[in-house]
Amino acid sequence: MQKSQFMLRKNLVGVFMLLTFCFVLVGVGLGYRTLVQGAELQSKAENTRTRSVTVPANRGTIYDRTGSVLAVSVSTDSVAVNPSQIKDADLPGVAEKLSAILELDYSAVYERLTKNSYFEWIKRRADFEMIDELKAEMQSDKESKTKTLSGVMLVEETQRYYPKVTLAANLLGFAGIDNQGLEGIEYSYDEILKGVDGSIVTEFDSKNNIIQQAIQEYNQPQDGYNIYLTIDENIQYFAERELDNLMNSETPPKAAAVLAMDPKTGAILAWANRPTYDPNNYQQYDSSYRRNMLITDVYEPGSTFKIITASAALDSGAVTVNDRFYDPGYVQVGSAKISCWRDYRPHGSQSFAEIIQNSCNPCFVNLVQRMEEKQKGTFYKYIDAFGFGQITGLGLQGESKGLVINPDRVTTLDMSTMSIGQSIAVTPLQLVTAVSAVANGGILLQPQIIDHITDKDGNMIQEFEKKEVRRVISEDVADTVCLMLENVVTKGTGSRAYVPGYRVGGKSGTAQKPGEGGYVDGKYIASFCAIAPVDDPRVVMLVILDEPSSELYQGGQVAAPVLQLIMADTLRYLGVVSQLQDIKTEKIDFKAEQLTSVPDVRGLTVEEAQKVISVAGLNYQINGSGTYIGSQTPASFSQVAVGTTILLDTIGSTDTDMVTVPDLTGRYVREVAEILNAMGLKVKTEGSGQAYEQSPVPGVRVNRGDVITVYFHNNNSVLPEDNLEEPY
Amino acid sequence: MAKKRGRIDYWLFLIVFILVCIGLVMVLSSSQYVAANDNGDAYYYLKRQLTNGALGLVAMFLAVNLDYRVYGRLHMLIFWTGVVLMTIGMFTSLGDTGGDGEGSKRWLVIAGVRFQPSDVMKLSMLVQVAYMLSIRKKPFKNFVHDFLPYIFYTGFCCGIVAVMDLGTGIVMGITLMLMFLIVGVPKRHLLALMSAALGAVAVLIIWKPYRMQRLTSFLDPWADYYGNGYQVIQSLLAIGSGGLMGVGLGNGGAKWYYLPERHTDFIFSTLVEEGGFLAGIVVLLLFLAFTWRGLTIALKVNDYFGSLLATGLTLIIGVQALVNIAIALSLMPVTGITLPFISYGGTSLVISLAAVGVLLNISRHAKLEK
Repeated sequence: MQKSQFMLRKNLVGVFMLLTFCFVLVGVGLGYRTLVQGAELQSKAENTRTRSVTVPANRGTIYDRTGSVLAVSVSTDSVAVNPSQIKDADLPGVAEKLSAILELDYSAVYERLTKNSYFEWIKRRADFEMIDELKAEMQSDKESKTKTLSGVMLVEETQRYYPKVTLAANLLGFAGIDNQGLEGIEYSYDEILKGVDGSIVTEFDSKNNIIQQAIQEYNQPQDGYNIYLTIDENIQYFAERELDNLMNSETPPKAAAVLAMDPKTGAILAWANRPTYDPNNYQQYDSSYRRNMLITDVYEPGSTFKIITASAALDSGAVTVNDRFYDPGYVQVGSAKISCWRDYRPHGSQSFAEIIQNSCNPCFVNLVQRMEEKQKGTFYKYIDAFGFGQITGLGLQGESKGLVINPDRVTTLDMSTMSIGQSIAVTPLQLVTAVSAVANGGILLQPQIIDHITDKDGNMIQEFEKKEVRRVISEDVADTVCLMLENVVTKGTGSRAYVPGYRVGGKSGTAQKPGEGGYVDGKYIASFCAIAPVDDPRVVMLVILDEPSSELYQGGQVAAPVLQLIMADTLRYLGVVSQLQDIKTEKIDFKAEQLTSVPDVRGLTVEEAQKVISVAGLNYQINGSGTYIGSQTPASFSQVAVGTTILLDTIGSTDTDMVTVPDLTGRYVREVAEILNAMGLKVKTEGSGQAYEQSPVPGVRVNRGDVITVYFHNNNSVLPEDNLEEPY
Repeated sequence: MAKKRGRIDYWLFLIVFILVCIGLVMVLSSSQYVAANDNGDAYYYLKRQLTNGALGLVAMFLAVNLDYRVYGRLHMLIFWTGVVLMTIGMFTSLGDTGGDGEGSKRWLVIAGVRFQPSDVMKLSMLVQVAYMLSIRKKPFKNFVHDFLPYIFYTGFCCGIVAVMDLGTGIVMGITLMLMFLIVGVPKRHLLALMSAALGAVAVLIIWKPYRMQRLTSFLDPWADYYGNGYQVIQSLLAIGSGGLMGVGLGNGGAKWYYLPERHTDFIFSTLVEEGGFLAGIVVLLLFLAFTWRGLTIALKVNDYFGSLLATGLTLIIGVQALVNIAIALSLMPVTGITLPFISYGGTSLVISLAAVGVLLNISRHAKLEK
């Protein structure tokens, strides 16, 4: 007994220690579960117990600069079902009713109703009439306690609505069914527009009942911000109206676009695209209709690029406005020959203003040669400074950089063709941005599409201010080029862009479309880029026609008239005061001396030639002793100063009896008669004063004795428009 | 001796009283949501537990005032009552797998009183084993002659309990092992017995495969989230949510039908969720203190039977608490077992308080520090 008691005591203590050890072990286990694994387990527990219901944020509205709504979110009802709530016996009835009201296929609806889930969409964003009918049916269901629509529910959703339909559609883009921006402004500024969805976090028991006494967390949705575009609905409308007229004409181009910018701020005023689409029904259009060609497409700008070449040449100091240039009809660059568009009748000697006015290709090639002679790389420096080959930073997604040949690999020929807008590809936005720099006194601005951003209550969130990128050319050069561009419209190849009462300057461009292995015959991009008014520019506008009809394809012929109509309305809308005096007669004359066109005297007898040259106000020097004139220098149709000596080489005989019709423009009736008589041609005159038109046109070869009809007018009467256009 | 009755151990009483109070609070907190939904009365379980507690106090009061040596004299009657009740319970429930969804049906109704016979059986057996050991004069030497008879007895008892209620069977087995250790059974005998017990557990598992699933789910509960792992996972989620200080009394989420047996077997999980690590430690310390107090009584009693009975009663409650908490912490496979004094359940509470009553009666005879 005593021994047992002792053993009992000893062993009791031992067992107590053992139990204590077990308690400590369990205590450590408790600490591990609560303190080490606690956070992880807690979040898992909360995840199983809570469910978050999304409260969608309202998408911001897009306005134009005047506050007119371009895109807005509106509430609509969508139809959904909870298949688990529909009894099998009710299924056919519910399916039939839904398919009838919502105009859906019965079997498709039936299939959704039988899905093993708690939520199935039947029709999202249903029409108002359908919803009304459905609501009425659900109401009568309730009253009669029938179950013809059991499990059916209406879910309020927002839908993007574009009240102006196609207006600025390619710029705006559209938002998809879940309110996510998919293209254009909607896509590029999705983060700003979409806001932050809110949520209601609710705790549920494991039987899916909401815990009433538990805390329900409500995270308020943050509605998206409103965007005010720089686009002006009215100017946009002018542009789209004219594009529609163009597309509805008998010979519509494949595509067309208009871009207008305020050159003083870089704000884009109009952004129009054809073909276009209705963003309310974007699914029904092929993606080619939704192209935002003003930034995604690149093209060879052709002669519009001469604005850049001319500005660069003047600003670099390689040429001055007083320099004279000579166009023999072509220019030889290495083995290649670059012809002037009017090589059949070369421009001859021209002032700087005239090479722009005449869009004379060889002289522009010469400008680049002079720049490169002065300092190698000058032309590229300006191309770069004007922003070509880089995105403009407008902020829209998908902007192309354009194509500029790598300066390390560029050839002299490349640079020569670049001077006239070939071998370089630009986006319309890049060109307008660069020309705006010329228009605003030489400063390249970052183009802006957003004017300001507000929250849903109209409080200002962000205001976009004019952003200067760099000075590209001096103010003097910029102003000079502007005035010279006015000359193009008043006297040169851009006369169809002339807006009565306003000082419009501009430049046309026609580029053959590149295709496989070179340029494609008969496929052109015609464009016209204008600045108005030139003395205080408010608008820079570019009109582009992609593949105009085959007969008329030149920028000055097809793009300028469209631009003229849009520009006229735009200037009046902007309140630009029209000048009562017709500016066209008040020419800005850069001519240092009186010029005249050299007649073609080849094939005439020496006496005839002497007479023609004399009447034309020129001197001559005859080399050789032949009866006929074989060749002459300068070439015919060169513009030379009055009194210039023409070198005439004689030949013994001639095998032809044909002569070349001279340019009689500006000559008086008497002179015309003398010249034509001397050449053995007959003359028929119409009107009086100075000649302004003739038939056949200068340069045509005719037989001696043919009749030339010449039209005269008095100097103070209005000149009819010059129909001549350059092919580049 | 009856005239020289000493004072009961008030420390022990205080510890048990605190545990019962914690139990009442936790029963209310863990059951009120379900009770309000299913029974239409948030206090449904609290009211019943209060009744159980009152009954338990009566049982305790009676036991405190009934000399424990009576049990020694009536050991055969007590033992066989337990065996008969157990047998009836076993036969009424055999083949019935899953009345309450857990696969264990442990209830017996006699004369309108519904109770778990296994709880009765564990006390009956303790009385019987304590008595047998107390009258033994020889030390344990030979496994076959000295130890085997005890194994037959206890093995039989644990076996029939374990068939119906594995958890209680295991608790009884562990308690008996510890008692044998205390009375000086050679350790090699105990190791042999332990191997046999493990074999028996293996047999029971093979018999009812759901027990095997519970065993594997303990090793990786997350592998079978909605199946056998579910209970343990929900218990761990509740305990983990508690952190250091808990989410606050009444604020737990496990009771929203997530945690099964939330107010009975897994009440410790609810307690830790709402009271945190600190509340869990407090409960652990209280049970450790209970064990210390109970074993102290056993040490101070001169009567060998009283000493052994006190040891058995203390150990069976302490071990049951440890096993229950270890299960809640997923340190052990799930077997249905209540947390003494705290879990909801009439039989458990009444029997535990009655056991404490016996322990307190023994304490009157102990030479405790004055």
